Amino acid sequence: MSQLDEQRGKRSDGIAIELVGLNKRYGDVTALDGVSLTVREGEIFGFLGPNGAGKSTTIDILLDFVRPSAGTATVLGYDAQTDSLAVRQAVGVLPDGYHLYDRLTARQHLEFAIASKSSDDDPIELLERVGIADAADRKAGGFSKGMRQRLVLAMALAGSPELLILDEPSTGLDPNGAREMRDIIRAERDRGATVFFSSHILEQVEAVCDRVGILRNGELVAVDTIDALRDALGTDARLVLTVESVTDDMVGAVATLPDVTGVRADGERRLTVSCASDAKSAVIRAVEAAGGTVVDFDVEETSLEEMFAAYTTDEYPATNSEGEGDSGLVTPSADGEEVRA
Amino acid sequence: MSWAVVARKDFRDARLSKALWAVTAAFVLLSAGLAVLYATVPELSQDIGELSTLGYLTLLLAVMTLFVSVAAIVIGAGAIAGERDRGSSKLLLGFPHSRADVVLGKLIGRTAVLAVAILVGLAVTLAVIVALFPTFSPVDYAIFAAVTLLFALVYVGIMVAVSATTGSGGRAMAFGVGVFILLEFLGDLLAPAVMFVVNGFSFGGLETVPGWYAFLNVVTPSAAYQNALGWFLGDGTAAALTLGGMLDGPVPFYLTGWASVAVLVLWLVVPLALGYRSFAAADL
Repeated sequence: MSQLDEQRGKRSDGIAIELVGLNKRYGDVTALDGVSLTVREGEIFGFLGPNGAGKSTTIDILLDFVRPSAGTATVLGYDAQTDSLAVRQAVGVLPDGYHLYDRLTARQHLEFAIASKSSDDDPIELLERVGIADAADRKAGGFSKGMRQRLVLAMALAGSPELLILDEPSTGLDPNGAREMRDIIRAERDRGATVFFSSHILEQVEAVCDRVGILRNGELVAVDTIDALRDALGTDARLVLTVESVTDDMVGAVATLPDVTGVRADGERRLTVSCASDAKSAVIRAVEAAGGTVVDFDVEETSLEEMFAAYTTDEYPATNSEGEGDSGLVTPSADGEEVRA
Repeated sequence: MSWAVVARKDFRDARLSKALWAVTAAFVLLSAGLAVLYATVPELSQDIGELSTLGYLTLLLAVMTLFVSVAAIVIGAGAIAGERDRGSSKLLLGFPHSRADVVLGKLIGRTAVLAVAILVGLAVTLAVIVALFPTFSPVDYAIFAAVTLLFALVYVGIMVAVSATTGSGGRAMAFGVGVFILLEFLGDLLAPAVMFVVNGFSFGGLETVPGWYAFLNVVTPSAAYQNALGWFLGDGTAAALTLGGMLDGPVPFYLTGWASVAVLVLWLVVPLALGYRSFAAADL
């Protein structure tokens, strides 16, 4: 990273991307509403949100494809509007909704990328990194979605950029391809690059991101590590107990425990308890004190999907405070409907 | 030389367009075919009385004007709008190219494609001329090629400018055709229409024509191209010479070939500047 800093010869104070009060309106539609965000150099930052939340609009502003209605965007110390050429010289981009030049080969695409960056990369080496070197002389018009995505990633890697901006990078990739994409993202981070990528695919984010920001209806509703976001929701563990026979006493005893936020009886033998991680043994003790015999128990962490849903749907408060994230579990419920899918 | 990178990419891409190959083939057939006809059908060459490069070029001029303008629409109208429509502009502008680089690169890349088509056509035709004509004037032929390439640059420029104003490839094509119709057909009505108004809504009593009337007749790109070539080749088709008898006074400078070249340069610069302004301000 220090090497890159020296190359650049300017001060960006360790900040790769800084958005301040970013606003974008299209007519009377507000795409972005007061987004402020700081991405540090050298981190892998996941930009999460459902389709239409404003992820691509944010990226388009970083690259000066669109101009903000208000607010500023700074990339590697350069203003995204007035210094866009410097930004794009230092950044590798995998845009969303791009189209390749169907009549040009993969090699010709790379040659264009390399010449554009005035770098001296070898096109074949870059194609090898993304695993499509054998298709170097085939026209991109015949490529599958996954190959196109790999080709554009190779183009983004040209010139060893300080910052990679990847919009939905795993689109069109099979699980193997997605894993290779994650490996490349990590390798780029290890080289000293910052990686900023948007996704609505949560596994991608969880697997590689140091921090994530969650965008919802044009507003940034959360920025933190995944673990911290999970903790903030409160429903950080779900205990599924199998007992010989569920009684109202058991349900009542568990529900009154301080760290339990929800209890539900699933049929005759199962109790689902939502609680803080360190309250699990207290729950089991309470069940046994109420005369139950625990045959088996299982712990499920809040899935990323649940966390995501909690932050991005209207059922849940935008910013979470203690004890509000449990709305999916109610106390006690007689009919054993599955909680959140 | 960021625009050169864009131009090279664009040239590589556009030269493989099937529509372009069809237009080029049509032009080669037309131009070489016209040369064969000119050499073998006496009625076509009887004005001059002998087969000459000049006589042929005068015939070719009308064909060339139509070919260049139509080919420029095919090649140029989608240049920028098409990329924005498909989304390849995000790939292009994700790299450090300014929007001015893109406009200039597109202009050069697309003009190069059309230039290749023109030069291929002229080269094939040259073979026909050398084989069938008793004489050949290389100077006339070279002048014809040079001014035609300038005309191609101008027309592609107009179409690239049109293309820079919209994000829809279909709309750009429609605008391009509209501009073509305006310039090629309605443009011819400009001078008479103005004359009609200035003359008190009648054409009565016009013995001589003022210089500005002659100028309005050579103010569209095609007319300027034809006037410039007529002037430089001296084949008697230049506006100043055909209107000579009717002009009230000596031939004014603005009817000379050089003035027409200046008019062509304006047609190159002004539309592109306007198109660039629109493109520079646009959200992609």
